[in-house]
Amino acid sequence: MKVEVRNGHFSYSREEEILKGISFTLPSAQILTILGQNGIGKTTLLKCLLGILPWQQGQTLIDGEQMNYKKHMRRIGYVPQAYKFVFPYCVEDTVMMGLAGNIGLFSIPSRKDRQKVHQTLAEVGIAHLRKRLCSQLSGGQLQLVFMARGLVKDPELMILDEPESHLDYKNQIRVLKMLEKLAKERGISCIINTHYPEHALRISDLTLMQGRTASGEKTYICGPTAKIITEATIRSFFEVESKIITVEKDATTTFKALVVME
Amino acid sequence: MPSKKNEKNYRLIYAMLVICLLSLMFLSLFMGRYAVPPKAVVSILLDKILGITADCTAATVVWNIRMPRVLLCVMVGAGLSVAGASFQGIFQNPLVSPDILGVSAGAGFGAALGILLTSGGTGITTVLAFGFGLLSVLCAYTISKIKKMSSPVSLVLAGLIVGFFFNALISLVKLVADTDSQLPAITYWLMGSFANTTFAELAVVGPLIGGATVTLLLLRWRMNILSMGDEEAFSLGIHPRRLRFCIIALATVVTAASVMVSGIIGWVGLIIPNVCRMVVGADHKHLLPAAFFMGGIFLIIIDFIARVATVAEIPIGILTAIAGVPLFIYVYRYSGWGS
Repeated sequence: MKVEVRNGHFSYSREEEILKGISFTLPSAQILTILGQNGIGKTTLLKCLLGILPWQQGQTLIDGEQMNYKKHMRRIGYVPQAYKFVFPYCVEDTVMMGLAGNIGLFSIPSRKDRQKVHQTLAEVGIAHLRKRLCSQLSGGQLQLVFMARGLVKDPELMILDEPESHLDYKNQIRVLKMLEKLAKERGISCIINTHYPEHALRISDLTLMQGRTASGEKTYICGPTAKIITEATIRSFFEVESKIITVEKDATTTFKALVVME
Repeated sequence: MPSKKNEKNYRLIYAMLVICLLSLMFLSLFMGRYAVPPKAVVSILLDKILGITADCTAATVVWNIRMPRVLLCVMVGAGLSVAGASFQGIFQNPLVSPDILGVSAGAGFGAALGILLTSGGTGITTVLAFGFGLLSVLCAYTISKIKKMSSPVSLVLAGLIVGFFFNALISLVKLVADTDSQLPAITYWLMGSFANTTFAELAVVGPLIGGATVTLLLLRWRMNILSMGDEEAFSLGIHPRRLRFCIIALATVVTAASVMVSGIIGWVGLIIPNVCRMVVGADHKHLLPAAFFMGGIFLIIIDFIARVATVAEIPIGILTAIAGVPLFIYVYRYSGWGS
């Protein structure tokens, strides 16, 4: 699925525009990471993109046409930040909710839906949690449950809000690898908010970095990850001194890594 | 914590609930101040079904007095519990009851006005009760919309405002009512009762409560999605506002119809869904059917106490509150609230 945002504006109050003229294009089967400090508008950008919050100016285009809730939403999986909800549903029931768009108004999930949920739980590696209550899970486990809920409807686009931030080291890598696999093998485009530039370097094709200019104005840069995440941009957007190094995995493949120099 | 074996247990739970409900209904037919032996009840029922008219006191008591009362009691209990469970789901709050949007206060005012104007004419009183019940929720809905960004919480707040307003109007009606005949009638009506239920009444409210309750039951899985909040529901592919409006309308019809025939019966719609949540879990797929049966069972027991405990009937609204408090404390003890 190709996603395009054209000149998106959004503000919660009159004082400051939180998103100011955002534009980017994400080709099919590629990964876009969004980087920026807390409160800069990363989650707001995702919500506007999805239509949860309305763009005050500009638009989202899906495969070249204006985003249409009914038509496109069932092909988009959204994974919010882990949060506790009021009623303690079990993992299976929570993941089942991802199929809501396919289950009729007066229907309840069928055996086929249940099988699909089991399959997705196994894919994400949490089949053993199937009957556990979400209220008894750790933040990381809950994050994986939301991941499964986004994936269960076989989306063509996954939108993830800090999917790895609550996870332990092992699961962080697992999620990153899973996203890479989704894009490469199943052609799913991914848009990911993250706090880790090194994760962006590792998996993403494109990066959008939000920040402020010296005078406090909102600004952003967007382009191929290797061009966007540089020592200079990390310094100006995050005020962190870093070094970007190239590591050889084997004779043919190398990857870039970021080392903090402070 | 539900385990693997729980999936099979649902059948057992439902079977037990149905058996419990049916046997309690049967029990209420032959137990009471006028004792009718079980055998006689069976033969009276058979006679009625086969179309044989038996003109004895026992037949009148069982068929014309107890039968409609039992049926209405089950219907109101089941309806209020299902409406309560639905409201709790869509407002994401286990402490919400079906009259949170002011429907009981509105219907109470309608009935009080009816009694004041007609000195007890049941037809107009019933229509006014139902009409004002619906109107109060409509008011709450409209008030919640005057803010640009309205949420389920603003709807609950608007409901509280409307409730206060109609309660004030009820007091006003009481103030001007005739203290010898009208005031006792209003007071007694507001406390709720299933006494003097007839098949004619049942024919009016049956389709209303039954139809709306069944539709709510059919929508039960969607309530899971709404209970995750609007943003979540939206991203899961469900338009939350429209669906919530439909569910509110259906639950309001159930509650207003219940209040118009039986007066204000509190607590059922608040407690029963919480008790059920402890038994079958939070999934509305099972919660609503369980609330349906459990609500019927609870109210039939309470009504039985209401008509048997003392010579003069105790208004049922008082009994549900008295029975509700210990139940509520129990639920509070074993639920996750406040921790």
